[in-house]
Amino acid sequence: MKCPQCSDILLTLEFDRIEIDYCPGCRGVWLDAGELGILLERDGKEALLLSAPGSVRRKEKKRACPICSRGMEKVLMTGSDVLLDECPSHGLWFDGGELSKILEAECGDRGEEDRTGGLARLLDEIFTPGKEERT
Amino acid sequence: MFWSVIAANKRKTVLLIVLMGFFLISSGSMIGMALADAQHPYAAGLIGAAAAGAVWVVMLLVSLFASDSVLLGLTHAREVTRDMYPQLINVVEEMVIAGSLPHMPRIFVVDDPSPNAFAVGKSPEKSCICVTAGLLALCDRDELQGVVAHEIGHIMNRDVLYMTVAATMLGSILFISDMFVRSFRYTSTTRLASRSRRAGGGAAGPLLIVSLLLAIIGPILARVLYFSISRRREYLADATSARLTRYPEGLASALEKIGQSPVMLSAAPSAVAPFYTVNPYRQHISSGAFATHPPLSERIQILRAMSHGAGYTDYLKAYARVTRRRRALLPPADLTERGKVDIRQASRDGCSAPATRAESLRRARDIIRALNDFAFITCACGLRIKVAPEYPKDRIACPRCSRVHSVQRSGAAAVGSVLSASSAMGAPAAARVVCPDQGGGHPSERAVQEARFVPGRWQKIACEICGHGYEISPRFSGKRLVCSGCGAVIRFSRAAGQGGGSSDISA
Repeated sequence: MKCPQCSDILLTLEFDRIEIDYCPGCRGVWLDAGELGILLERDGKEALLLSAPGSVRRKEKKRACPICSRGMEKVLMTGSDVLLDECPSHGLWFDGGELSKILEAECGDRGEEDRTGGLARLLDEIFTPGKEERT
Repeated sequence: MFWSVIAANKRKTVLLIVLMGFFLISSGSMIGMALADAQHPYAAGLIGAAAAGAVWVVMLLVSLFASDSVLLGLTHAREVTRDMYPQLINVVEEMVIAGSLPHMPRIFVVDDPSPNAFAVGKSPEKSCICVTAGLLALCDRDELQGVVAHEIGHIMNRDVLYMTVAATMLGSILFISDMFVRSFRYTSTTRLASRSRRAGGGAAGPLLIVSLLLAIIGPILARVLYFSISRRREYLADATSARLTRYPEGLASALEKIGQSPVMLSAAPSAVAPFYTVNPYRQHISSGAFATHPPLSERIQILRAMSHGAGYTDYLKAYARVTRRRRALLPPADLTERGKVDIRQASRDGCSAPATRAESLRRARDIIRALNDFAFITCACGLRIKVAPEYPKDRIACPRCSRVHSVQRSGAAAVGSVLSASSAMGAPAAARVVCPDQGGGHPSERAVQEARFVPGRWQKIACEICGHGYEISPRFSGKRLVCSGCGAVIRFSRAAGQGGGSSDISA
């Protein structure tokens, strides 16, 4: 799969049984529809937030879905001004930092201890190393 | 075996080849005439017909001799073996024996999160069954058996022969009309318009209209013909599935799960659509003359209405009751069933139940990735990186901890490591079903990893299973560590004369 933004080859990262596709070039993240379904089963609220964005018309250039190469729709995240790209049948694309920003905004208010949602934890874990236990 | 259905399928295959040939050659000649100069319309028509004929012959040869590899190639399916999917292979074997097929079909898996399955091949001796990773993840043993038996039904009734030929033929018609539409749109619009003005609306006009009509109606007709035929055979394959498994609820519940899945097939070209157990484009084309499959709800209803037995007669009765159609699915002479076929109990497959849907989907996709030459790197920080074969560099920095790894592709050998990793994966999770017959202790205690420990300095290690990270003190003297994340055991090997402590620690 190629990155819709910079055409680099995406890497698949797996952590704590969640999988995302990550672009090493622009730090964008692709969330597969199948993966989104699994997230929905695991921690409903968080994934529900991601699975029901509202579609908007923007003049920004359409990007191609990394799976079917069709133009993706621009969607606006509910409750924030982050603009995402969505392929209705295959998944969601987040530009570098967008996904963490959304999860930050949604989960940050509830305090650090409450942030046990799988996706937020995954991203947190992936991009902030050094939280190992001392033995 | 429905002999009349088999004979009809063979007859229709020949008829279809002839009809499609006629369609292709006539539309080819029309297109040639429409695009030619006014002086030599017939010569150009002949050339068009010859070109279309050549395409037809090529398509015919392909559909008879290489169709399975073409169709499997279109869907990016990979063949799997018993070590990778013992349950799938067992289920197929059971159904092959139940259906008395002369030969075991080859079994393929498609890397796709959407649940579905299909069969290809021109005869029962040379057939392939293909399931998606999503199906393996979603279905339990009974449901998988129902879907596999449905595909075996298609193979037994020779539906696959007809559908394989029809798919290739349909593909060729769509290809030619697409070429015509493109050439018309990009090059000839202005030329034809100016020519028809010069000729005063003479011969070019009607010719253009006829060829346009042909180019538009041809593909539509081809689709209607081809799609509408495949509906009755879906009912019959469902009937075969119920009969072979003696458990109609298996397929019914699989169909229900497939119908509820929000994920669409990513790699299904429209020519392959009718092969699938459930139409992959169900959201766009659900009913009417274009439908390749009967409505799912109706199929499920019929299967669930079979309360008295699992035989063909029971299916036909349920079909008549649910659909209220007068026309029987089968001529009575085809029903050679003697006696009553009882419905069996649901199988108790506690031992083989997949832990969670996520895990089995991950496992299925990892196996296909390994077959597709992906490299798997487990970083010491716990992140697992899967690198596509197209990745251009030899080295890769872990996005989490920036450790640099070299990318080594081990090809088929990677499958083994994926299998061992995925069998250990999630072993300690609460949802994991442990077969009481297998004995042994708690599953977590079976997952033992080795780690090298160099005494005298701080050292970072990570559990290979859950990725939980540890920093080991230079004064640590234990021999093993029980991971607090997943309960797996990490055993340390150390230089002789060092440590010597016997304490087991539980982190």
